[in-house]
Amino acid sequence: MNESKDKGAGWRKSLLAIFSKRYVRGAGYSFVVLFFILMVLLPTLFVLSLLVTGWGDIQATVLSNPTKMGIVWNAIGYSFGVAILVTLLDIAFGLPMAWFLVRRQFKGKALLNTLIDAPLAVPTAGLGVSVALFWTGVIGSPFLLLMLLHFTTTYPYMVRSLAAILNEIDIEYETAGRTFGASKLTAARTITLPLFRSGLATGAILCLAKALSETGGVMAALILLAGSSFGAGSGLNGTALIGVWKDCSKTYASPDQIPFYCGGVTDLTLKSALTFVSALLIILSLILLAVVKLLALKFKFPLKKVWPTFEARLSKGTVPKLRDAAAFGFLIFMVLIPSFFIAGYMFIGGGIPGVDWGSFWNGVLLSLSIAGVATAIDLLLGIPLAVLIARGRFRRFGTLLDVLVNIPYIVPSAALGISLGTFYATMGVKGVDVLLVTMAHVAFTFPFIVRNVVGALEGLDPGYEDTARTLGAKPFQVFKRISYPMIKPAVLAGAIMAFTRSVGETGATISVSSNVLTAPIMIVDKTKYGSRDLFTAGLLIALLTIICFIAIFAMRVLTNRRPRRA
Amino acid sequence: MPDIVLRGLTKRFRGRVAIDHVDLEVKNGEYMVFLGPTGAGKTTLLRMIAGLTKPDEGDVIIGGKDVTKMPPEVRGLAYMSQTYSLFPQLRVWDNVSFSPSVKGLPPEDTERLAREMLLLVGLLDRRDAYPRELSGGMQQRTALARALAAGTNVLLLDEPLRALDARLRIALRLSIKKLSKDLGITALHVTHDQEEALLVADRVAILRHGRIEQIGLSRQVYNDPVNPFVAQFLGEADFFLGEVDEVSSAGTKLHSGTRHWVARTSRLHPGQDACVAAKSENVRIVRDGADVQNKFEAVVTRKLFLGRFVGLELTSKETKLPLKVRLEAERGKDIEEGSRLALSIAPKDLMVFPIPPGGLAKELEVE
Amino acid sequence: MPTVELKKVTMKFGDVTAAEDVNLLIKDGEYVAILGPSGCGKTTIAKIVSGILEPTEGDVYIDGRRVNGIPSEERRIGYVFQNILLFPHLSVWDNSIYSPRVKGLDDKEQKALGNETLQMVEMLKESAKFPSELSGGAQQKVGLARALATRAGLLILDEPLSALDARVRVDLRYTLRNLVKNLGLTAIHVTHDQEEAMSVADRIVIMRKGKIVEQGPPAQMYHDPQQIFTANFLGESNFLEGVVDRTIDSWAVVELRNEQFIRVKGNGLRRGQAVVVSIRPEHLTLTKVAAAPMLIGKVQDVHFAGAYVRYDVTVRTGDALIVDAIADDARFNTGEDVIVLFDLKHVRVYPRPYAGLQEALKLE
Repeated sequence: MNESKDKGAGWRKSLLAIFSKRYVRGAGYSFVVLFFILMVLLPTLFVLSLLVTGWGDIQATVLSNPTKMGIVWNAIGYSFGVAILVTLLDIAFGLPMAWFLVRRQFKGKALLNTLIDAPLAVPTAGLGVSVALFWTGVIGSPFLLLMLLHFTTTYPYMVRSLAAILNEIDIEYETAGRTFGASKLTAARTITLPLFRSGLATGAILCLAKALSETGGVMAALILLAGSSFGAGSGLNGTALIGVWKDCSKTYASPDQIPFYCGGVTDLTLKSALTFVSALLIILSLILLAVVKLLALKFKFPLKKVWPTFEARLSKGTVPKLRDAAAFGFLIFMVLIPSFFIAGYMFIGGGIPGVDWGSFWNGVLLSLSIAGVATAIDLLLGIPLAVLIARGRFRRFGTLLDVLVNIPYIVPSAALGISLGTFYATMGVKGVDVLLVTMAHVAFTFPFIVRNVVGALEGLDPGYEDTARTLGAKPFQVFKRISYPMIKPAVLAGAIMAFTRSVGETGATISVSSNVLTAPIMIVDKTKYGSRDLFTAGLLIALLTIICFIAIFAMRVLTNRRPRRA
Repeated sequence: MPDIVLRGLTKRFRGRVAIDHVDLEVKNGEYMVFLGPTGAGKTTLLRMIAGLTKPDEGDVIIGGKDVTKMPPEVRGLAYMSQTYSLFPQLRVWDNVSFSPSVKGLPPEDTERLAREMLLLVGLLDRRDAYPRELSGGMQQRTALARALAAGTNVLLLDEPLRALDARLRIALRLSIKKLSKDLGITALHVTHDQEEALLVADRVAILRHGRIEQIGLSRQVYNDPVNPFVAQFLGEADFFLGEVDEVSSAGTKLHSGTRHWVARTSRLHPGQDACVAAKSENVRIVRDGADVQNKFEAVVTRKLFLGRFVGLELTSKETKLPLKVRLEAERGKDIEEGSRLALSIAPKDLMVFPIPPGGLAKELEVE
Repeated sequence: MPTVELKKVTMKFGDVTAAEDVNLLIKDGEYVAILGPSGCGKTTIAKIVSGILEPTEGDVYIDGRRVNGIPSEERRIGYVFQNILLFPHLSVWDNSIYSPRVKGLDDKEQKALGNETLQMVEMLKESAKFPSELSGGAQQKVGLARALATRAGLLILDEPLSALDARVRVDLRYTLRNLVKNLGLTAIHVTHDQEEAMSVADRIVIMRKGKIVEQGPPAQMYHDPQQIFTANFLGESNFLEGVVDRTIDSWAVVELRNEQFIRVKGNGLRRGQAVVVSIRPEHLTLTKVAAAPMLIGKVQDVHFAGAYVRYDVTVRTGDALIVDAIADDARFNTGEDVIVLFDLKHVRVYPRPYAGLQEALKLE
């Protein structure tokens, strides 16, 4: 028996020796970087090159067509206007909530955390349905409706980012300020807030990216709002426009399959229009986010002026209570209730016999499979990439990679889908729609894993890894025994976020191929005038929400389980 | 064959020279201490020996092998960081057995080593505890056991006592040395605490700005410092300026103002400006009428209680700079602030140095 | 300048009792050091006095006024932190005038205070620098200036020097004491460093496991510690366990281990009492000439410590003693047989602690 044990140990030793050889590691890392660049980054930005090569076509079909240009500019305006306004409001209402979460000790913190995360579990198409139904009759303007929708899609990201940074800032600074005579408000404003920049920037970028990217929810909401007049042109934002034009530029087997909003005809020239819109969205998003990052670095908070008695009065009594009330009010009435309003439709009942269970389960399983495979690929390749970024020997290359990895996330997923689809079509890859959709999902969920793992590795005291190496551990052993166990919660969190995002994603699916009927696509379909079936939509939403909710809850439990520092 | 040899070791960070062409030989089984202020480069030097930082120039030779290009895991040494870096998710036992386990030793040997080291540091009964459940001193001993269980001949310690309470430091100071002597290993102990350095070291190397200022036995570097910086960094010293009159093998004669002094022999020449120093405990209080050399008067401006010692701050017109004097509590009991005392420094205790480039004040800066 | 009084102050965090039944009175202008090992409750007390923490039980008075429930921004105190906590985004100047600024003092007053306090700590020239550009000692000096600019009469220093190098600590502690005394402030200085406490304080309060063990002026506590923990924590001491064999007039003879006997001062000792004999290393002398009280031993090791030499001597009782001698005195070598003379004046005898000697002396 000892012999076999030794043989086992021998195998292990040789495998370890192989893995530790510098050139093997080098080859592995190169493969990962190449995969990322060729299969993720390039397809994402491909459409930008088409701006150049297909310029003639674009000129002819879009730029010279005033109606079409009008629609495009209107859509862009909607997308960016809504995104910016929503982000600003998220900051205003999210900041006090984040403060409350981090600085206050109270029972039920876990519950509050869960509530704030809850909208993340709902597939965004579902959020669109729910929000539209909630505000029916009250809100008539698509712009306003989209804003209300995006409160539910972006609020959790803002609060989480702010809370994360607030957690990092030692509360002792504020305490110190107060011993010097500063009231709570003054101390927070003059000390903590300036230290907050990166948190605000991250939160703003996440919200902007999410708002710009959102497709399924937007389409569902706009469809429900406009009913039969949906698609008439002026009521669409950027991503909805892509969704509509994509649908209207396909070939259909018979004319009565053509969606009602295409006006009875399909227009294949829309393909270059799609290219144009996607490229435009990509370029403008990247510019906007670069601007936000710069602003965050340079913005000077008003520090000089102090109003001691005024601020002291604001720190006590009714004002803080009003502020907290407003924060909670926003959370409940603008985020939570609208998000889950659709649940009410479930209890109306009677719709069960009318459900097509075949396509129902197909849709759900397809969504879960794509999400599962995408997440698996993300983990397999994202972890080594993250290690390269965080611990690699060439720091500048690592920083560059770090920036590049974020691009597929920042780019609106619908535009990403168009780009990726066109890339593979140009390469001659045909007939594997599900695979292409999966690749698109890999692209925009990849950053979740990489960012989380990079963050966790950078937060890890290098002393642990250094000490392990001096004790004789080879780099692979160091990672397996020391680093990985310590970053496991972050890896899991990243994986769960990637999974739930993929499950709820519409834009990247629809824009690659509308033949792949994932659950969110079905949800949007069920809102369309003429085939409206809110009960089935509600059922789909409920099932996906429950699955994602369990996943998110598990993630919260795992990341809170044990403190990582001795 | 010496266990550790450093040749021309140099490291630059963004244009600044952190370690400047350091040469060093550490003998087998020696307990060597690197002493110096923060920023002197002690940690950088240690990390280069461990292989955690790559030198820009120079070689590191351990046990006769040139390890300069080798990664830390094959250098055959053990390293303990200032914060111990105990693996928080592993119990004490798994922490301590990490090294033999990761090197592929058979389980019986791993267990034996871990048990042996835990016994040595007296923590076998805490083998199932997690690091966060241990007190500071216990964490330190666990980290030590883990390093020793690596079974290497060389032990590198980066400020091993710094994270502990002051009183605990005093109690645990000699324990590491005893362990390494018992096991017959060579140790490199980095610290900024001169009392600790003197007490534990076989030899002390004083580092400043990336260079070794002086290296030798505790007694040597304390009593025969090579420059004013070393003179004041170990213990406490008083300084004043003077001009050399005469130099011979019997001693150096100087004057400052109208006062004449007889000091140790030196290599300065007549007419040269000099910096004169004496350790505070060598500035002795004498009877008014005593017939001694280097006698002068001073007034006590402050009296400090230092436990076993009494510290006096005095001013004297002979020396311009304020003086610090140290004497045993018994003898200092009855001295009051404001008293006028007669002081004397024996010629053998008076050290003479050339004025340091940059001036005396800059030389004596501690940070 | 304010007096500070704590009456029956207790602080509990869930199951953990950080401070228990603490009664303390600090007089106007007094420099008090609260000394003890990590976790003894000293920082808790500092935070309670400053208002950062509210006690679970008990009352806190500053200048005769009960301050329970009053937030720290309304207590007139200056606080210096262990982690220094200079605001990283503000320059040295802006850090130092933070207090007058947030209290609404006008520009002229702010400028005057900034100049005054930075001058006091000799950091005026570095006004434009940012904390990240300064060394640890320099940062803490600015921290001190910032606290002084509050113009408060009560200064609370929470392990102000712990983060600094040994040498820097020594220099800075004198600056601290000088400033406090020159300005006539009342100071509470929390530390785990007994040497630091002895050199700066008018009075030392020793805490252990949440309770006050003993308090008094440094010299008195050092030369005449009433509690055995004090004897071990303040400076170093040797301890020998034994039983009182007989008492004669004002003397007592104690039987130590291995049938060794030693004569000590017998005030209050009874025959058969279990005791611990304690003496500091500097009050033992090595010699070749016998004279009572003494023990015979052998030198195990010799260490040079600069101003003194330390000998590890194992005596016939089996105890390992530390003997410190002035460096110039006659030298002894490892392995040599010696006689350890006890300075009778400085021998102390304590009743044997109920929980055992090791437990009573534990430093953690």
